[in-house]
Amino acid sequence: MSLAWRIGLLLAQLALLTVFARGDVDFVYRAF
Amino acid sequence: MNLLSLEFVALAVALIFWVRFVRGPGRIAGFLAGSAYYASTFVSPLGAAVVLGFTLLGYAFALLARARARLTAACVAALVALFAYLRGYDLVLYALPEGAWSPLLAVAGLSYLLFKILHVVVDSAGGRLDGLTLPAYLAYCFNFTTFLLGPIQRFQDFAAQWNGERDPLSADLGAHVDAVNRVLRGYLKKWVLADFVARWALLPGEGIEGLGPFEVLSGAWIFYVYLYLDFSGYCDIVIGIGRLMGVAPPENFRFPFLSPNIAQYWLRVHRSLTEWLTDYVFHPLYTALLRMRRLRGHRLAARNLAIAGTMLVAGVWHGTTLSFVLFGGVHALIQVAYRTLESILESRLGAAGLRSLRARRWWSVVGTACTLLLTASAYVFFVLTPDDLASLWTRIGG
Repeated sequence: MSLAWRIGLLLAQLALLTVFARGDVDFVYRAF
Repeated sequence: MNLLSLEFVALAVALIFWVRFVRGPGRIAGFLAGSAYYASTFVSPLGAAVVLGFTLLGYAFALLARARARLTAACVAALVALFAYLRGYDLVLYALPEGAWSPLLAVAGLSYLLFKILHVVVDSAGGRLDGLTLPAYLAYCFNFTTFLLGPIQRFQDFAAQWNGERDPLSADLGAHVDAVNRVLRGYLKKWVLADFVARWALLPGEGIEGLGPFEVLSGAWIFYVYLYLDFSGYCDIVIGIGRLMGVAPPENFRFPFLSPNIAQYWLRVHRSLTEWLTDYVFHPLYTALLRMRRLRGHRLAARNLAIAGTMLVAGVWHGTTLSFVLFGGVHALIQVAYRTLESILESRLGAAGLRSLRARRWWSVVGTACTLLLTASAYVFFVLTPDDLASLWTRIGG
């Protein structure tokens, strides 16, 4: 994968996170 | 501290630069300070004292085991007994007088800490642990990327990267972008996909009132998907951060849903735990069983018993109730059945015949489907409390 694609993927992931990510339940941390 | 918070991102970025560019004694001191701050956000003052005391006891035992190897088993037993008390295993609490335990003692991350410490104690006795100093040991135990959970790293692997003998990140810009992408992929898995799937999953502690047996089973299947996204997402985040920092935890997941058999499943899901269990439970147990007069010459029986014991330990490590014993027990049954089937097929077809059977597409498809169905269904025992399991058992006419 070229550097341009990798940077494009980075920006796309950032955009998805900005729109959809909600920080709430952390089940795994409580369990162990 | 929420991993999605700006506080965590700022801490991670600061520690990445600190570990990469600071030299001298300040490097480990700063890393320890940052990691201790991170850990302190998850525990109460009492919990912090418990974690520190448990960790220092582990170091004392490691030194003791190095000086007197024959005391290693006693050190391991003492640490396991203390851990069982602190975590509040049902069986331990049943045996203790009322008020002898408080939930404040069951601090987050203790299960992972136990396995890291036991590994250090056992390897110290074997003389396989060079460079074990108190600062290095504390940095290994409290490393913020693996403190709460995540891949179970070995001290040797941590120390080799910390000392610069091996860099998990190549110098080119593409590798750096890949590492950041790995972190972002983890965030997407955990905070977008897992949270999306969670609404249909049967989560621990939710109860099963009003749910039929199939709804419980399908809820557990979806919980498996949720747990995979949640935990492998967490691993992606810490592996990506670790690569940028120069001290990365090992890989932990590789598409477990596509495992063609139960043995492969355990190598694809939480692999670092499987490797730990193989080294510190399975091998010693298998060797001890083979030495027993009754089992001498019965390698398959010894191996099956050792696998069953290992799976029970895996189950009990995951939780404190009877449900987790059953979770381990179910995995033990699946593993023993699979290993026995393979052994029978090998004796009938020969090693070459078994290899040829494994290479056939239909065998692989049937194996993958069976493994997926069985491993996903076993999460019923992971999710339900013993009371819920009893109620379900009654409902299905048991």
